[in-house]
Parts: sequence; structure tokens; C-alpha cells
Amino acid sequence: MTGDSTHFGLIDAFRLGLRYIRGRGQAPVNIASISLASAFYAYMVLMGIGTQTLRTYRLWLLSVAVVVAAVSMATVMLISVYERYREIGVLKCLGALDRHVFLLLIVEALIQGLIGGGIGILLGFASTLISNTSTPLSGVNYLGLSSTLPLSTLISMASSLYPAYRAMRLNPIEALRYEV
Amino acid sequence: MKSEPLIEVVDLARYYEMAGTIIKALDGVNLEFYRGEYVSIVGPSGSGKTTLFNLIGGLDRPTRGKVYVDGVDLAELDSYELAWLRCRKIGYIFQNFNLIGVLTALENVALPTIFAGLPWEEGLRKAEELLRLVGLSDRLRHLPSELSAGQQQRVAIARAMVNDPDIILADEPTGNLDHETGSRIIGLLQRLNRERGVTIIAATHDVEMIEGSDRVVWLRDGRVEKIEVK
Ligand SMILES: Nc1ncnc2c1ncn2[C@@H]1O[C@H](COP(=O)(O)OP(=O)(O)OP(=O)(O)O)[C@@H](O)[C@H]1O
Ligand SMILES: [Mg+2]
Repeated sequence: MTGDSTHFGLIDAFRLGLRYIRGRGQAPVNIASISLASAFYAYMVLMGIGTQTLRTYRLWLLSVAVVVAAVSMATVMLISVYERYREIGVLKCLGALDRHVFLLLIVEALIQGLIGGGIGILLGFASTLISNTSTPLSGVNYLGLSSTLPLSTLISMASSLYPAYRAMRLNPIEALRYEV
Repeated sequence: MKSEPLIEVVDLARYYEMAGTIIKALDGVNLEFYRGEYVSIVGPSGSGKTTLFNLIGGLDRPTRGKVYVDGVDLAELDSYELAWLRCRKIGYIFQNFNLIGVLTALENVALPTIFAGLPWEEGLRKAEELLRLVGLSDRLRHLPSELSAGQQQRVAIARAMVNDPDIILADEPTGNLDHETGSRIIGLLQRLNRERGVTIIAATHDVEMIEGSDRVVWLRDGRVEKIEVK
């Protein structure tokens, strides 16, 4: 009619995404799995990667932790999308575009990745303190440690791509028909 | 008053193919809706009421025929423009309210203003005003799960109104309410229609709702059976 379309920016996605994270049961599960993988990574950054044999072993464990976190996150996000089937249909009915729905889900993943990464850093730090009391705080590799956050958000967002795609492609008519 | 129709439906058809057989959900419907009207759509289950609403709201594309809203052929709009239409021109009310469970009453009402591009604070202000209008100013911070069915439907009505639409499509708005609560919802819709001039098209089985409308369109098997002017 005007060639205009509807709006839903990053701030809006954060606002709504935060409500969903706070109001629904799945977020703690996602945050737990992301924080475990992140804790493992942070621990390795702090302790150093170790000697040859230890190195292969630890890298292998880290990859397993990352894969487990990613698969768990993808599953839980997919469940979350199906549980919200009708609500996503309502959003589209009220003017949300496909890409708005996609953005909402990815931002939810981003927030959970950041929280999970933050908890992971604390956990990793705590476990080095327990296993190695002699580490002086000044010797901590803060830069390496902070690389946990990009890693955790990346895992979180990458594993939510498919669930977000499913949410985006959902047909609002079918979703609204979907009786509870 | 009978000038240009706000909505014009011309030879509208929507077929579904199911396991080789064709279901004619709508089959050649011609209708006109005028600004400020209150029209009830009546018909047995499966007669095509929801299908008609989906087509008027641009959620679905017809098999045949046209829908014009304000003179614009919906077939000529892309998905961006259709989203804009649903957001700014049309408000929706559903049988099961369809509020967002994690948002408060106030936030639920303000939600469509985000899509309309309003700043959030402004949206909240408008939402509060509308919740006051529907008599819920003491329930702003309640979640849908903390509201009664009638209160939830009033929140839904406020949400449908928040972007000042020309049209409200209400699909059995009293279907899940007891008689008395339903009555109050009908009264509210009639008041909005009179005071704010919003055009209301409501699918309903409710006798009270039908009695209060300007016209009644009777659908059967995807066709208009009769139109009754009150
Ligand atoms: N996605 C679909 N696939 C196949 N058939 C469909 C589909 N959607 C609707 N129909 C059929 O189209 C017809 C009209 O359905 P519609 O939902 O419009 O009826 P209605 O008048 O809203 O009924 P009710 O009063 O029960 O809500 C029905 O026969 C229905 O089975
Ligand atoms: Mg219906």
C-alpha cells in the first residue's frame, strides 16, 4: 500500500528474546550445556595445553564437550520452537516477517551463549584454583580466557541455525489451526 | 455512507487438495464490507469462515478471485506489504485469545507497535491507554496465565486495536467464554465499533452477537447462502 514493511530490530529481538529466556524452562538446560563446554575450554586455557600425550587427550575431550553441547542446544531449541508453534504463528499474524522470527531465535541463542560462556569462565577458573593452588592471578591468560565468550556464542548460535530456520518457515495458518 | 467499500471480495475461491479429492473451502464468494460496519459471518463448522478471514488478512492466497482492501488488490502485494497490512490495517481476535505467554498484559498489547516501528516506550503508553479502555488498568503487569478467560480476551481486543486498524477480524471471539463473559466482550466490540468507527467482521455462532450487527452473512459449503440486513 505504501511499499513500506514492518520493523523488528536487534533491540526488539533482545527485548522479546530476554522475556522468552526468562519465562520458559529450557534456557537453564541450554546454559548448562554451553557452560560445561566453556568451562572445559577455559580450564585448558588456564592450565596450558600440556605435554604431547595430555594434549591429544584434552583436545579430544574438548571436542566431545563442544559437540555434546551443540547437539543438546540444537535439540532443546527445536523443542522450544515446536512448543511455541502457535505463538510464532501469532507473531507472523501481527506483522512479523520470516527474518524477524529468525532474528529472534538467533538472538535468544546469542544471549544464552553469552551467559553460558560467562558461567563457563567462572567454572573453569574455579577448577584451576582447586587443582592448582599455586597459579598466581597475575599469570592468568586473560586474553585467552576471554576467547571463551566468542566460542560459546558461536556454538550456541550455530546450533540454533536449523531451529531458527524451522521457526522462520512455519506457516502461520497451520500454526493457528494447531489446537493446544 | 455507501461509498467505496473498505473490503471487496470478488468471486473468491480457495480449494484444498486432500488425498486426491478437492475440498472447496470457499467457492465463488462475493462480498463488500463498508467502513464502520459491524458484520457477522455465520455458518456451520467447515463452511469457510476462517478460510475467508485468512484470505482477507493476506495470510493465504486464493485459488481464484480477488480481495481488495481499500481498493488495493492483495494479489499485487509482496510478503513485506502483506505483513504491513496485517500490522497496520487489520487487527485479529481469536477464539483462544492467542496471547504471548511470557509477556505481561501491557507488553502483549504493545507488541504489535514494535512491528509498526513505534518506540517501545510509546507503544507501552498506547497499550496502557487501551487496557484502561477495556477496563483492565489494574492488570497491566499480569501474565496471561494469571488472567481469567474474559480478561485475556479483553487484552487480545486491546492488542488488536493498538495500531489503530481500520478493520478487526474476530474469529469466534466468544467461542471459549461463558455466556455472561461473552456478553461483555460483545458489548466491548460494539462500543469500539460505535465510538472508534472500526469496522468489525466477526465469525460467530453467538445469537447475541448476530443480533447486534448491521448485517449478517450466512455461509454454507463455501458459498454465501444469504445476507441479512438488520
Ligand atoms: N489446510 C487445509 N487442508 C485441507 N482442508 C482444509 C484446510 N484448511 C481448511 N480446510 C477445509 O476447508 C473447509 C473450511 O474450513 P474453515 O476452517 O474455513 O471452516 P470454518 O467455517 O472456520 O469452521 P469452524 O466453525 O469449525 O471454525 C473445511 O472443510 C476444512 O476441512
Ligand atoms: Mg473457523
